[in-house]
Amino acid sequence: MGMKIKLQRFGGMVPLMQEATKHVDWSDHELEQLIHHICRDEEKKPSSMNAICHYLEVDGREIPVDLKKVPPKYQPTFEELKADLKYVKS
Amino acid sequence: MCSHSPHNPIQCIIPPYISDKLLDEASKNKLAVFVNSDLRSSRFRSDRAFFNKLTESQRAVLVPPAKPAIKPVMKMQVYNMHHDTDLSKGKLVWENGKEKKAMDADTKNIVAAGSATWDMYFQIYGRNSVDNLGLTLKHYIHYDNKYANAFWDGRRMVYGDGDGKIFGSFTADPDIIGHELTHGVTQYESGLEYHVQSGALNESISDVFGVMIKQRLLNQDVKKSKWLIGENVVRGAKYALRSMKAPGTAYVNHPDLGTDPQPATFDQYRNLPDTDRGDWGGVHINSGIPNFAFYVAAFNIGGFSWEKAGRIWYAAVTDTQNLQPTANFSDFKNLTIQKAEELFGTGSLEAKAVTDAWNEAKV
Repeated sequence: MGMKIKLQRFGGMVPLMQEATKHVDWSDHELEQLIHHICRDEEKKPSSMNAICHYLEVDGREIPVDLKKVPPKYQPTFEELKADLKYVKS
Repeated sequence: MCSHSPHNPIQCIIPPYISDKLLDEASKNKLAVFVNSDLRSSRFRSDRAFFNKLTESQRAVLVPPAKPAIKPVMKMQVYNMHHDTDLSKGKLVWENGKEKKAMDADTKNIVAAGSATWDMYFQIYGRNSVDNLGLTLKHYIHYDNKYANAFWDGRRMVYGDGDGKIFGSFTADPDIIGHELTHGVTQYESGLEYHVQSGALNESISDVFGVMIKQRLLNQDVKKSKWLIGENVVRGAKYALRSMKAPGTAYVNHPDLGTDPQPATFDQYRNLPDTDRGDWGGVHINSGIPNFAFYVAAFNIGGFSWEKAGRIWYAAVTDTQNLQPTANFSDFKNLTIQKAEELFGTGSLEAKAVTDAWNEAKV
């Protein structure tokens, strides 16, 4: 049971990708609800200069997400992922 | 009562026959009102007669001197985020020279570099803050946990502490602070769109003014400067975020970051997707090309970069008639050459240095 999720970070002053992976015991329904809650518009032009953006990769899907929208229940999981982010060398 | 000349009755606002009539009928209470009114009228007429006799020069002597223009002063605030990400929760720790809380190292960094940024823009280019209207500079430090970045959100500057391993605090270099503030200047001037070539120009302009702010703060001329952006932010003596002198060499074989991907010349321009994942067409990568052009121009002109090369770039950045939001490298090349000719003359050393610099960058 469970699934592997990957958090990806792009952008900022350092134009390199960072990623971190974690196993979670979420159900498919729970995952879909979470994605519905935190997904963001990928096409939206940046209002901030040097801003960072995040994607959540699950089952081969890469979903643009806004970490400020993560519900409290899932925040510890995302804080762990953020702490584990590693650069992918250019 | 109105003391009038019968030959010049129109000098009275209230004709004498009316005031005399009124006085005849006035009660004791009304008398004071009429007399005071006449006194004012008399003084008014007397003043008018006096001023009518004066020449223009005599009148000018009596005009009170114009109040001296109020000298603009920097308005700046520093907020401590205490690792939160909701900017409304920032706690004010410094405002316009006054400590609200004990200043930590990051607050001191911001105050020093933020002041140096405002000073350079005002003292060298006559600009009052990022909007040229005295906007209060708002800095937010200690954003999020181990946040390895700094950004301009359209109104404010935000700085993370870095992860502590690869990156230290993003307040550690005055060029980073100047970089973020200059995004504000660009926003209020040409509004260069933040993608592809215009986005790379936007990034480069922030690096150009960021490095000049650092050079001026450290009193470095073009030869003494290392032309590095973020040399204290990236941990390790041989690393920085970007090199304007030699783009692509800020970090080489870094154990975590690999090698700096910036090109120095246009033939190495990186075509990346115009998406957030593609760094909006590589705005932080292709900025190496105009960065290199500025370095070559400033170096060949010599002296302090902000005095001549900086003036040329500033004139181009603020020419909103000719610098369109979608400008590309070639547009900016032509505009900086035009500005060098306007400021220093056609065929001048400065104009030639700018032309040579862009040619060196193969634009």
